[in-house]
Amino acid sequence: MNKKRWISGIGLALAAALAVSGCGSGSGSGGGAQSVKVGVAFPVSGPYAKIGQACTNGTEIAADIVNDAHVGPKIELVKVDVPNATSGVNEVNRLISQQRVKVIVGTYVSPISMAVSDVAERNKAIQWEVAATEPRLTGRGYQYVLRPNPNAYMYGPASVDFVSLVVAPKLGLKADQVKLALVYEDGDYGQAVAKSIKEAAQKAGIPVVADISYNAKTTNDMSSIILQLKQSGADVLDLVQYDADAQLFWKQAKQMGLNVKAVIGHGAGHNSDNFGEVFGKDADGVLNVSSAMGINKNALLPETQKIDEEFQKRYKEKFGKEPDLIAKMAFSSAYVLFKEVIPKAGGDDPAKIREAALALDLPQGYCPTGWGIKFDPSGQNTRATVAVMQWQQGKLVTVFPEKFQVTQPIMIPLPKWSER
Amino acid sequence: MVLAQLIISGILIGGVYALVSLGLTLIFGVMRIVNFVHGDFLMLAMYLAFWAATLAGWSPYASLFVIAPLLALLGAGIYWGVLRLAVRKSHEASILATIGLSIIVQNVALMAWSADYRSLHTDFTGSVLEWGGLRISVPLLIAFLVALAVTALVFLFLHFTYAGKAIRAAASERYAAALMGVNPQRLFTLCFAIGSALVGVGGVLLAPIYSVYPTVGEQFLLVAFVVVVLGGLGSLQGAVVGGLVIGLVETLSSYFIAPSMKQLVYLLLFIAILVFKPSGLFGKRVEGVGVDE
Amino acid sequence: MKEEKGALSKSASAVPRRGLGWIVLAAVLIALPFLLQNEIYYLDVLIFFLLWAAMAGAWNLAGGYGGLLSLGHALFFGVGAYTSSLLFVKLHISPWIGMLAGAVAAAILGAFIGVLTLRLKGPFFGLATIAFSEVFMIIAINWKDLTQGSQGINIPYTPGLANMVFDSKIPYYFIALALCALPYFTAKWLERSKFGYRLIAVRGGEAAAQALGINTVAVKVTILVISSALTAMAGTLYAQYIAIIEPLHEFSFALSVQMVLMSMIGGTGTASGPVFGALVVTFLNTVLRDVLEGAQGGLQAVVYGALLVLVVLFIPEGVIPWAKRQWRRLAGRVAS
Repeated sequence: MNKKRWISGIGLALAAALAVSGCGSGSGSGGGAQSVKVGVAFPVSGPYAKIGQACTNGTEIAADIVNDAHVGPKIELVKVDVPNATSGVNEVNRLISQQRVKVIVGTYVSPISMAVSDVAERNKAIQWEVAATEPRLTGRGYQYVLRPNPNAYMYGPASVDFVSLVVAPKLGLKADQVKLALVYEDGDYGQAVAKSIKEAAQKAGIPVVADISYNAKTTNDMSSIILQLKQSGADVLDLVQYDADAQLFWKQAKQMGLNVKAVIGHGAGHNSDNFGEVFGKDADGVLNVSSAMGINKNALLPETQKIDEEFQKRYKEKFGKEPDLIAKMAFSSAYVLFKEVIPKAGGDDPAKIREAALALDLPQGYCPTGWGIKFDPSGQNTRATVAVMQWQQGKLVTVFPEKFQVTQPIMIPLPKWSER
Repeated sequence: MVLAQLIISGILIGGVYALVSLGLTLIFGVMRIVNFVHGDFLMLAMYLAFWAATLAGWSPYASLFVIAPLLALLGAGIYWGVLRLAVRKSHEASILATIGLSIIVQNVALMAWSADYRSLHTDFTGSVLEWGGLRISVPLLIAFLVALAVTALVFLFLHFTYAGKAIRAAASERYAAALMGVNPQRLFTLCFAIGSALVGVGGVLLAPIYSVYPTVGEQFLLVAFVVVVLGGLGSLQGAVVGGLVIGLVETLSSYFIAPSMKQLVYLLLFIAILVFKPSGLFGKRVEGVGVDE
Repeated sequence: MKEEKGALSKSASAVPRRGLGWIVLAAVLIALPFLLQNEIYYLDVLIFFLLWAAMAGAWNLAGGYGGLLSLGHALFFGVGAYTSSLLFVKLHISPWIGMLAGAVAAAILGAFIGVLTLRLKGPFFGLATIAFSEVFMIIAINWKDLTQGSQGINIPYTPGLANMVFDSKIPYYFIALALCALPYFTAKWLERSKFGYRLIAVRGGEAAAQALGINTVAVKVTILVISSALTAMAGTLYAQYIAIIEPLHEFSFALSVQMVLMSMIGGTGTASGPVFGALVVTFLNTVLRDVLEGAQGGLQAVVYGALLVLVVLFIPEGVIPWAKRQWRRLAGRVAS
């Protein structure tokens, strides 16, 4: 009997506490015409923390630049940590109902974005994506999800085109003579991009001689994978890997003398500044398909060239290091929202934001990553270009397509390890 | 040829697993503590080796002699301060406690050192011994040899010193040992300290091989438990042999079945061992399990 | 023995007072979501609280009352989530039926695992359950044709009662409430039924129980089956509410641990323990989020971990039993 009283008492107390604190906290409106609150939801703890932090940083710089330029209402960022789907749902509900936020930038992790987009759609709040590639995010007919960045289906064609148009000729082979091996981590990112590559390869008639997936979290040794690759006689190796496994793989590739003629990463681990830092010269020659980093300045609009420089400068000042590609992607995406969309929408009204976004028609080269902006009705940016970069002298530079190219690709075919 | 290389790779990674499991077999074996913070101690040792190399230029093979004792102290402190009390109450309490500690350690590391992936370079991080077409990674080989050496040392300790014999006694017959004048709690603290030192050695040796980041311990934790159960709780030789077996099983099934399935194979093996022979290869018959017997 | 007599003699005169307590509680629980209609955040918090309480409660039946310390209960959660979602997305079968199907699937799995691992004591049983959970995670990741692999299954936003998809959070709340009540009342039933006594006897000492003629195998398997079925049902609600399920989370060790932790904090082997534990953890996370204003890169988790350790050190039997003791002590002092 005492227990029941306990429980009732606690239940009532909880309800009362919540009701009271609800009245107390939760700032007023989302800001009048003078300022607009924008939610920033990335995982900054847990397994995705490194990239989530880079995204948050990139978004911050975008807000700083736009605010200093007094383009429109002041952008006030409300940052939350969303390490998994449950927190994603909790935090976005909180942003919407407690903080009266109607626009949320995030989350880069596909499953988390899927969960968050559902909350956003139901509550008619905008989810503005920066990096998640899950095609279904914009494939459900939702009205309130907008994605400036490319989705996974765009990686395959870009990667395979590069192989057909650039790698094959340099190897003296026709496209359908190039033997392609595919090694990818078995998470949502790896599986989605791999699927896209396989489909594109099939269309181009390129034979896939190895299709190897592994679990990034539990793989402590890649020797068996490397041996399989050696046996497969592959010419070109396509990789979709995160940081730790990308580094382990490349270390062991050298140790075991895996010699292929071209190695193409696809974002994530091969985008990361850590890759260049760890391997130095040994990273040279590795290609990477993703949104453009180290792009030819002439491919960017003049205004954008300046913004890109400012971004680099401010990022280094504020965070003490150079931004990596993912930070640049987040910056590019958020910048479009802050500079072009919110001012045109006159605030954070989601319907107006969607309208303003769909009305945008910005040419390629508008974003520092080379993207243009033209959303299709599903919310996907159709001008989200994916380029091919290469590690050269410790830096990622764009080598394809020609209009983005800073320099020619080198080391195709890659020299053997023993000859490096 | 391929088979020979696979076996070599399997043995080398097996050595890594053995190294990581030595400490756990003592802790789990002697004290029956399901030590979920084990992987995080490994992570701490890896970070310490990284910082020692980066800030002070020490080679991990030197900082080893400082980091292992540091981990021993940490382990002793954690046992004495937290686990000793938990272990007295119940199994569940010690599980809860080690999980709580694991969360704390991982996230403190995250807050202190950020999520960046660190990499430790030594003169021979990338070097490889070539022998008739076979390739043997030097850091892995060193880790393997050290695992053997350390096992031998601890074995000698357990069989030829008073403290060591007392630990073995307490492991098999707790009450009898107490009756013989052995103070169990002091002993367990020592045991936990040794186990922590061992995982410290493991971490330092792995730092040149793997990226270092706050959750890196998770990569090795489950495997360590598998190895410990396979080898037999409390048996150092068991940890070594178990590690080698799992390394070989993993590498061979990765090649002949599929890399995505390799964990499946050793997990099924693990379940089979638990069901049919929980005492493992070298362990004694597991009668009752519990700190309270 | 004294305690039991006291409880029995109290019950007659306590019925009206007990009844009142329940009515008040029921009224509060039913009115709450309507009062909070527009506060989607609080409703969200409540729904998760009830969901976690349901899962912890389900675990507690096997773990607390049965002494089967499973560390891989996420397996059943995942099986429930995937069964109903696959049936819904691929065969257009209503998730209400899917929920039951999931419960059955989990029950069968639970029986299988129970029989296999019967002889395992303490930590070995726990490790075996972890292994099973990981095995299913790997299967879910790699059997892409069936489960859509790591990209997971997305529940389409098609509101409708038969689809168990709703615009408002209120129906989800009530489903969660029902799922939370199920293990609670099952536990209460266990405390008074013959089966429950047999279960407690087995938990106390299997050899002794066998000497008494109890079929310990049947008892253990039965409770595991009940526990897994209820856990699976929570999986279905989760899938329907959050609309995306994927192997890494649904079969994760962290999820299994959460169920155990909440039960332990509140008190395993008590009916209200898991509810209270879920309340504490949810409340703590909610408060921390507000206080720390997000983006502290791990501080929230450190506080959570510290809480666990503190509970272990100072209230290891769980808050509810500890509170009961304090209450009795107080009552005793007042009486004398």
